[in-house]
Amino acid sequence: MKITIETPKDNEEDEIIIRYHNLDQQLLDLIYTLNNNNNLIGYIDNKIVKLSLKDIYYIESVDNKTFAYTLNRVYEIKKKLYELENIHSDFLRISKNTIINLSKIDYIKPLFNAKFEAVLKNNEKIIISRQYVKALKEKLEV
Amino acid sequence: MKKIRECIKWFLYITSCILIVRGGIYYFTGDINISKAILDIIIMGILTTLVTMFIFSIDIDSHWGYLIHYVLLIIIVLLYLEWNQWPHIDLNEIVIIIVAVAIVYLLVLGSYYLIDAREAKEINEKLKDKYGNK
Repeated sequence: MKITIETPKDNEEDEIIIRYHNLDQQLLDLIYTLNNNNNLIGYIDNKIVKLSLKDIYYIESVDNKTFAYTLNRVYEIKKKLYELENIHSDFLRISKNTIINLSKIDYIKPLFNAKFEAVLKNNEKIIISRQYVKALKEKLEV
Repeated sequence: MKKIRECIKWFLYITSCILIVRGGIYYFTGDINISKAILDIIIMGILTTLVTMFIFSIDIDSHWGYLIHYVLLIIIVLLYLEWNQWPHIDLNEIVIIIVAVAIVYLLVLGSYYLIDAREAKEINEKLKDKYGNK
């Protein structure tokens, strides 16, 4: 990929323009990184914490509040779940109230109630609704 | 559209399994009233599909959830048969229905589980390829 760096004119803003033929995963990750800095602001015990996306296992909406779960802590996120759906290419909605970090899934297994269960690398188990399995398969190119 | 597709899928699974079990019963009882039976199968398939979709749309991960689902299916089948064809229900017939519903239940969930297990395996392979080293 060719990278061109130009100095804008005096009356122009700093700007990044991406020109592509194929919007591949590498490019998507780059766009996500530029947009989000790979961080989220979390709130815990009256403290404000900058959360790295790679530390988040999943994000869940409970009673109209949104929470990010890391290995051993839970942070409130002052955003609606739908606003976080495209936060990073590794994050995917897997039920009405959950977005999961795919990189934190150890494995998934089927359940007898026609749903799937994701077992995370911290051994936590999250239900994947059937209607979101297709999106998961598309994301992973299964 | 997704709901309709899901509904059709469940209907086909359940109806096929009911057909297998009813076929087995005909074989042993010598019942030849097939056309009536086919109508029964389709109606029971529709009714149990609707109940199954409702139950699975809410989270039933506990054993109680499966038991409630199973009992509901038995009640539906018994009510349908009572309303439609049985002038008298005796204990033996009730026991046959309970066992038949159990077999259909296990066949449907078992076949669904096997298909899902294959899908899960494919997904796990992709997850391992993509994130295995993270």
